[in-house]
Order: sequence, then C-alpha cells, then structure tokens
Amino acid sequence: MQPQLAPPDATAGPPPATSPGLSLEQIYDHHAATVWRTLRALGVDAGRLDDAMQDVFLVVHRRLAEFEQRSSITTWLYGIARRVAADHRRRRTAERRLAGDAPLDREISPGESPLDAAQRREAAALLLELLDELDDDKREVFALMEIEQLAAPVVAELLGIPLNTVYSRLRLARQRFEAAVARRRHAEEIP
Amino acid sequence: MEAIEVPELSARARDLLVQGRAGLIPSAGETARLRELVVAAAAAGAVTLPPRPGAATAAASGSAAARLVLAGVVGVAMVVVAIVLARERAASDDAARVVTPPSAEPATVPTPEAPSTTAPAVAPVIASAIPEAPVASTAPATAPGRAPAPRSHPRSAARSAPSVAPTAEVPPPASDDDPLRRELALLRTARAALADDRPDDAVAVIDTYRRDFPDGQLAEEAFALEVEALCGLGRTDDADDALTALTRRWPASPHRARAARACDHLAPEAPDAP
Repeated sequence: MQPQLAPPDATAGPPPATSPGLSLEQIYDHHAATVWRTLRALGVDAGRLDDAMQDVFLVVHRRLAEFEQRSSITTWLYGIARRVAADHRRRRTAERRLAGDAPLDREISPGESPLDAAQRREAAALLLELLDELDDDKREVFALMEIEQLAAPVVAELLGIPLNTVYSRLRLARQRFEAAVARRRHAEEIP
Repeated sequence: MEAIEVPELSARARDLLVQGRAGLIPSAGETARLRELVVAAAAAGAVTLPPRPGAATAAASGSAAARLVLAGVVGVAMVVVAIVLARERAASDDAARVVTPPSAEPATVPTPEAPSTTAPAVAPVIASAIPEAPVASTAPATAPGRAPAPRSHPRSAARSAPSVAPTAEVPPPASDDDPLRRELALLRTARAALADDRPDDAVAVIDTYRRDFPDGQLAEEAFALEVEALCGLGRTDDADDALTALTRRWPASPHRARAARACDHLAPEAPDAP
C-alpha cells in the first residue's frame, strides 16, 4: 500500500527521523498514518480518534525538546500512542455501550472505486472487531507485533515487560485471534 | 534466554491481518483535518512545559490555569470598564436630572465586588488590575462558566463543544447498523451474480438496493453494475438509459468507461449516448 505505512524504521523513505530540528508538522506529516493506525489497533474508537491524535501530538510537542536519540522517533511515538490509547480504552468502555462506534469514513482515495474503498474499510473494521476480542495486554503485544511489525525486544521495551512475557502474550493472543477468526468463519457459513 | 514457542497464524488469519492493516489508513481528508486540529491544539497547549518524565498528561494543568487566569483578567477588566461606564453615565444623569437617586445606579451594574465610591478612583484600577489580576480569588469568580472542562488534556479552540461531554463525542449510528455495510453487502451480491453469469439476479439485487438506498453512498457503483447486468440480459436500451443516467450524475465517473466496455454495443459511442 503506502510506503509510509510500513514500519517506518524500515521503509519510511527519506526520514527526518534523527535530525535534531524536527518540527511538529514534520513529525505529523511523516508519522500521522502510523500513529492513527496504532491508535485504532490499540482500541481507540473512531469517535475518540480526534482526541487521541491531539493527545499524542500534544505530548510530542511538549516533549520534542527532551526527545533524544535514545530510541528511534517511531519507537518514541509508539510509546506515546500506546499510553494515550490505554488511557482512552479505560474511558471508553461504558460510553461505547451507550453510543456505539462512529460510522465508517466515507472518503474514497483517488483511483479507487467506491466498492473497493468500502471493502478496504470493511476489512479494517473486521480486523478491529477481532482485535476487540483480545484482552488489553494481549492486544497491545499482538497489535504492535502483528500489525506494526515491531520486533519482540522493542515491544518488551515499549511495554516495560520481560521479553518472555512478550512471547507468552503473543502466543495467547494468536490463539485467541485464531479462535475469533474461526468463529466468524463458522458464523458466515451457517446461513 | 529461550524464547517461548509461539504458534504461527493460519493463512486465513494472516490474510485478515494483512487486508485489515491495509484498510487501516486515514483518508487524505481525514489526515489533513486532523493535522489542523493537532497543530492548533499544540499551539494552544504550548504555554507550559513542565519536564516531568512519564507524566504525559500533567502539563495540562499549567495551560488550563493560564487560561483561567487570562479569563479572569479579561473578566476583571470588563467589569472595571463597566463600572467606569456606568459611573460616567450616572454622573451625567445626575447632572441632567437630579431626580434619579445616585445610589440606585450602581445596583444595576453586575459587579461582584462593592463599587468604589467615586468614579475617578476606579480608573487607575484598570491599569493595575491587568498585571495583578492573577489573584486566585478573582479568576474563578469571574469565569466559572468558561473554565476548561476537567479533562486531562487541553483542547484547542478549534475544537468544538464535544470535549466537555464524552458521550456526545461519538456519533450516534452503531457500527452494526452502518448503512454503508448493508449497501456494500447488496452490491457485492450483485457483483457476484454478474460474475456468476446471472445478470437477472444482479438486476434484481440492484433494484433492491435502489429501493432501500435511494441516496446510497454506492449509487455510482450500482449504476455501473446495472449497466453491465442489463447488457448481459440483452436489454440494450435500458443499459443505454442507465449509462446515460450514470453519466449525467457523475460526468467524470471512472465507472462509465468500464461499464461501457462491458457492453459491446456501447463501447464505441458511449460518450455520446443520447
């Protein structure tokens, strides 16, 4: 798809990732899609994305001066996004029952047919539904590794947990995800 | 350290992941809209920068307090101006009509504090009030209604009210009932019927779609499928009509050429179809 969506360390093109004088706008332009996807994958509802995106980039803005080259900027962003997402997840549960999720984004990319666009979004919505079936701690590991393609040691550092815990959560998450996929498949085949 | 054995995902699960991930991208418009929000929020929240490691949300209180103080300053200044104006009016009223009792006038001015006794004494307060206004007692008194919502983060002025009431932020429709999904399901059925060489079924499904979604999000696609289906049935006149309707509503539709191509008789002259 779009190159910038791949793990940015690998394929973000000419990244300004380590230049000292980064502006908020530059960081947004290079990493907005990654942050957006990570927030979604980590359980931030569409209706809360505006808030969550602002939260992430407010933190970026405030901490930019303190950000040193200890980690890559993407790892730093993942860390911020992950904390923001956890915060939003905590707040969402009750509200969600009342209000439901936001409708799908209607916009169609240039050169894309409405049907293709809708199918693409539906695939995303299905994935999010499946992720919703994972516990938060497993979801984090699963999303960061399977969707963001981060390496286990990076995830361990991000989450502040031992590497072995990362693997054990990944194992459980894969099992649950697989079971959720199977359930959905059966549900589709019955009618 | 010996890594824990982690089973591989099935091909189907892997597939869902890949497709879902590909779909998890903000549209260009969404990205641009959020960019404005983010930049505005950063500008509004840039007042303070307490370097507290790990406290991602702690800085909010700084700028919230700053805004309160600012609101207080503005509030105090406005009250002072109001007092001055009222007193000037009272003075001129007094001069013109001795009937009005001077003591009645201040009572109509909405001042939270006891007014000074004479107008000239108030004027200097304006100058000194601005720098000294951040007194804790004045700010809450003058701006309780404008106080930032007790959220953990400051919000930009660009944002509208929803941040105050969390439940109001989420648009009402539930995802399970999303009409777009139902539209999609219908058109997918139509497309499958076409692919399965059952154009009559496809037409029937599209009729259903039209009935259920007269203003559907995927109406353009529905027209294109309809053209193909009608051609498949040999109903070339109807196909012409559908193509014309498609062209009229979406002159630049990418589906037009495709639909026309799908119908042999339409291909050469489609753009000029009557």
